[in-house]
Amino acid sequence: MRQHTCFASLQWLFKKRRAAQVEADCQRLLEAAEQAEATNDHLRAAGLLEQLQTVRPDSKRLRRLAYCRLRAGQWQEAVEAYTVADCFSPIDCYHAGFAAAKVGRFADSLRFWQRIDSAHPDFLAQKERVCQLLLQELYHHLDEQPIEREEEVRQLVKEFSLDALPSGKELLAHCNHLRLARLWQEDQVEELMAMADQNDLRYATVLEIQAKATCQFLLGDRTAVSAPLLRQFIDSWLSALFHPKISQEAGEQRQALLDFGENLLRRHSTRLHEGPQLIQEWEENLALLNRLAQLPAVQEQALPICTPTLALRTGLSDQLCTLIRERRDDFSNSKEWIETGAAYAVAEALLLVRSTMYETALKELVSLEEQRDDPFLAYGAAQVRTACGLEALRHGRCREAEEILVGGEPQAVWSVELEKQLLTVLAQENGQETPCLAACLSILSLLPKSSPPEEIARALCIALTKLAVRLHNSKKARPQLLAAAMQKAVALNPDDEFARMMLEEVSIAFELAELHEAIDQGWLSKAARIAAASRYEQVVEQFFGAAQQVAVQLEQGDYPDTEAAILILEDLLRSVTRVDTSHQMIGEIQRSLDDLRLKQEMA
Amino acid sequence: MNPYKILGLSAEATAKEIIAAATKSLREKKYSAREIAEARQQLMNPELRPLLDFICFVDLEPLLTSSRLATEPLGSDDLKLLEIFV
Repeated sequence: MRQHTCFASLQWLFKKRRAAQVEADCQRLLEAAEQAEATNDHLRAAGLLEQLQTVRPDSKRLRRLAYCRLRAGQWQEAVEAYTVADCFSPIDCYHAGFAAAKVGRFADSLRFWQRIDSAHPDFLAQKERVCQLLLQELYHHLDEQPIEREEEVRQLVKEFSLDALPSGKELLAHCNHLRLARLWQEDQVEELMAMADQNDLRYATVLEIQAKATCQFLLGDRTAVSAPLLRQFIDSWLSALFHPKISQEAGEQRQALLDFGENLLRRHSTRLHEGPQLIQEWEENLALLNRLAQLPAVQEQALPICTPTLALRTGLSDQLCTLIRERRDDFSNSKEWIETGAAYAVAEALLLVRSTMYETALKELVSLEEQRDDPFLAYGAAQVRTACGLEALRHGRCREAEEILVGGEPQAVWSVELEKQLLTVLAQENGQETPCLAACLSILSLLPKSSPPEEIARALCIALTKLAVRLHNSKKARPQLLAAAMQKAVALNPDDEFARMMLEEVSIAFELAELHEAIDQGWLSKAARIAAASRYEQVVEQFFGAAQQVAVQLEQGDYPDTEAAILILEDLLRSVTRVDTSHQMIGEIQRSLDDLRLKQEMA
Repeated sequence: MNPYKILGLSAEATAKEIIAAATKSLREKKYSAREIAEARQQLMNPELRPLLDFICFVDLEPLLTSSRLATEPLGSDDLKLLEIFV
C-alpha cells in the first residue's frame, strides 16, 4: 500500500516536470518567433509558430501564424491558416483575401473582403482589380465549357455584383445567351417563356429563339393562353420574320410562316375577350412592318426593323423614328407616313392604352403634347387621348370623356378617325345611357370640320342621323345638341334625304324651344328676332299665336294702367312688323293703340 | 411540342427514317402514343414540313461565342499589400 502511494507520487512528479518542460519549450518558441518576426524573418517566425501550434493549439496564435505566412509570401499556406482561424477582424479578412487573390482564388478573396466595411479608395480600387481578375477567369471558363459552366459563372457574377462593371455586364449578357441556348437545346419551352422578359432581343438569334419558342408553346395543347402571351407572340414572330437575317433563313417560306402565325393567333384569340383587339394589333403591326420593309433605305442597308413595342423594349424606337422622319417621300401618302411614325414615337403610351392603364397613359399625354410641332407625337397623342376618352365614355364618365376628347390640340387628320371610333362605340353599345349618347353627339359636334373620304362620310352621316333620331324620340337630349349633330351629318353627306329631313325636324324643334323660352321670359323682341330669322312656318305661326294672345289679354283690359298697355302694344307692334310687315295683326294692334292713346289724352 | 425531339430526328430526316423513328419511340414509351403519332403526321406532311424546319431549329453558334473585347491578360503579381487596416 505504501509502495503504491509512493509510485503515484512519482508519476505526478514526472507529469508536473514534463508540463513545466513543455511550458518552457513553448515560451522559448514564442520568444524565438517574436524575435524572428521583429527582425522581419517571417518565414522562420511562421515555422516556429507552426511548431508551437502543434504542441499547444491556440486560435489567436493561428491568426499570427497566418499573418507570418502572408508576410513570408506563403500565400497558399496563409489562406489555409486564415480559413481555419475563421477570422473576423477587418485586418485579418483583408490579409486572408489578399493571400487568396495572390494564389488566384479570386472568388475566395472577394468573399473575405465582403466582410470588410470600408470605403477606402485604395481598398476599393484593389477590390475592383480582383473583380476584373475574377471576370477574366470566368470568361476563360465559358470559353472552355460554355453551356456546362454558365450557371456557376452566373452565380458568381451575382454573388459579387460583377455586373456593375462593364465587362461584368457583358458577361452576364453572355450567360443569358448561353442559358437560352441550353434551354433551347433541352427543348424547355416553358422555361424559355418564363425568361422572355429578360432577353436582349437586339440579337437576331435571341429574337429567333423567343419567336420560335413562343410559337412552339402555342402549338402545344394549351387551354389557357393569356393576352400578354399572344402580344409577345405578335411582337416576336413578326419582328423575326421581318429581320433581314431571320427572314433570309425563312426564304420562300416567309409568307407561309406569316400566314401560319396569323392562323395560330386567330385560333387562340377566339378564347379571349381581347381576341378581336389582338387580331387588330397583328394587322396593324403587319401593315407597319410591310411599309417599313418597302422603304429603299431598309432594303439597301438590310436594316433590322421590328414592331413598335419591340422597338421600345430594345431601344430602337428613336432610330426607326428618325428613319421614318427622313423618308417622307418614300411613303405612298402623308397619312401613312404620320401613322407609321406615330406608332413608333408614342409606342410607350399606346402600350399603356393596350394594357388598359389609361390613367398612366393620360399622364404621358402631358409630355407628348408639349411637343406639338412634331407631327408624329401630335398624331400619337391624339390617338392616346381618343382611347382614354372613349374608355371614360364606355364607363359612363361622360363629362370626363368630353374633357379628354375635345381637350387636346385639334388634329385635322385625326378627327375623321375619332369620329369613326366614336360611332363604332355608339354602334356597339346600343343599350347605353342617354347621357353617354348625348356626350358622344356633343363631342362629334365639337370636332373640327373635316373632309373624310366619301364612303366614310356617308357612313358617318347615317350613323349620326340614327343616333339623333334615337335621342330626339327619347326627348332627353337638348334640341341645340341635336341640331348641331344633324348639321354635321348633313355637312358630311348633303345628298342624304333622311338626314336633311331630320335636320329640318330638329332645327324646328330647336327654334321652337328657343322661341318658347323667349316668350315665357316676356322677351317679345327676342322672340320676333327668332321668328324673323326662321325659315320654318311653324316657328312664325307659333310667334303670331303668342302675339295674338298678348293682344287679346290687352283687349280684355288685363293691364295695370293705360301707359303700360301702350308700351306693351308698341313693343308688340314693333315685333310683329319685324316678322311680317303685311300681317293682319299690324292693323288690329294699330287700332287698339290709337284707341288707348285717345283714352289717355281724354283722361 | 417539337416533333423532331419527340422522334429524335434531325432536320434532314427522310420519310423512311421518320417511320422507323416513330416505331422506336413507341417502344421507348418516353412520349405518349398520341404525341408520337402527331409528331409523325406533322413531319410526313409536305406542306407543314418546311414550316416545322424553320420553327424547330436555330443556329446557336452566335450565342456560344462571347463578345469579349480583346484586352491584355491581367495577373495578380502586381497586387500590393495595403497597410490601411489596423
